[in-house]
Amino acid sequence: MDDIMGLIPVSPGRAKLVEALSGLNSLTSRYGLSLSRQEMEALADRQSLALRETERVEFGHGPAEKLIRALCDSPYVTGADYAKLIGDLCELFYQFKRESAEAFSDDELVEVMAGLFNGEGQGSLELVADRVWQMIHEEPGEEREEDEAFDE
Amino acid sequence: MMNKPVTTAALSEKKEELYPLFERIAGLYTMGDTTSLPVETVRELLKSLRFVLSTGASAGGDHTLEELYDMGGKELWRLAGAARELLELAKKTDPGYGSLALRDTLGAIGGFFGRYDLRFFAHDIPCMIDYPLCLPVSEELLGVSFIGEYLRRLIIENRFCASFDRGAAQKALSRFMPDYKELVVNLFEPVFRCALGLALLGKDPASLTLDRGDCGRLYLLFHPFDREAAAGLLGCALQRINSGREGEAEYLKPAAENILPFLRVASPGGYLNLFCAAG
Repeated sequence: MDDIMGLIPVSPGRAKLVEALSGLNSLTSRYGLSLSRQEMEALADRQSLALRETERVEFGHGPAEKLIRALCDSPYVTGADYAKLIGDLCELFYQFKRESAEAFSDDELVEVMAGLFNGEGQGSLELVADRVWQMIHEEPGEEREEDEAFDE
Repeated sequence: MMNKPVTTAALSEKKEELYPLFERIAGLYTMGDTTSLPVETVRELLKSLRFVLSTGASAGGDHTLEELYDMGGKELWRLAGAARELLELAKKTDPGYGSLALRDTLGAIGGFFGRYDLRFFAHDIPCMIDYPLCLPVSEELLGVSFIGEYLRRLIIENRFCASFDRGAAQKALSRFMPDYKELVVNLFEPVFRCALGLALLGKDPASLTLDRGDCGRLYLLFHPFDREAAAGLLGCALQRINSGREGEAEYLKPAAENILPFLRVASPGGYLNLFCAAG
């Protein structure tokens, strides 16, 4: 890595993200969801790790905030798996960003992921991952085999 | 123009200024589409930023990074304008030897200005420069600074070559390499060496033609080899072929000094090649 890269942090850091996420608890608590400080710190750490693994640099707060806003009213999100789910989605988010070669904006990707999670995926992360992966690698005009079969 | 690069250590002392500046540039680059970027892109944006800051710092004085960035950007715009003019001059001074590499390179530099992204990738040189100069531009020069310096040197070479009869020069080039038009080779150097060889012998350089006897005399002139004496002889010869045009003397001196090691080791036969002489 170029020496100058050391001057720019890979992620905004725990404190910034915790501060951003703390403000969201008042919004999510009406759906029975909230993150403890410890969970927020763990989320910040997962996000940092995902950034390193996908070789990206984050200038904002990362996708956690947007994903929480998009999914807090989802019938498939429960308090028990909330923190882990958001962490998993953040990892997927950065993987998709890398894999799609920046084809999606942050908002578009969150919208696609949330749409699939709440719709076809019915809360299944595996299906969200599978569908977004197909979307990224599908040639224009190419349709999925099962869709063609369904159409017939 | 060689700008002293802004060092990482210097930037490290101004981290609190650097990050907001870089954040602003990254925001302009992404246009709000994303808050994260691949490391590769960040690295290129940082290289560009460092180059712009270095260009701004070349004016001297004590400035904030924001000020240096603005000053550097303005200076690069000015350099880009100057480089466009140099390109036109390089085309006008082309000695017309029919080099495909030179033609393609000048065409590619014409395209450079359309692709050059001063805001985000100011350090980049988005064109292929195939035609080699006798004295290559330092790779430490970046972006439009590199292009400007390349063209400045090319113009010196072109003007030097154009001061000789084209037919005589093309004969010299053919002796040097018969298919010189198709090859990616510098065309100034053979012309220069012929002129230099003749000047060393006290002959008129205009003919650009040396024969075996001339090369034998040149061999004797430099043997037994003494570096200081050889450099002195070259210096005197350079005075005879230097037209006094801007930058020419400074360019011809190192070009001649490049020959020194060969003058020492080449055999009498080798001198034929060295001065592109007729066998």
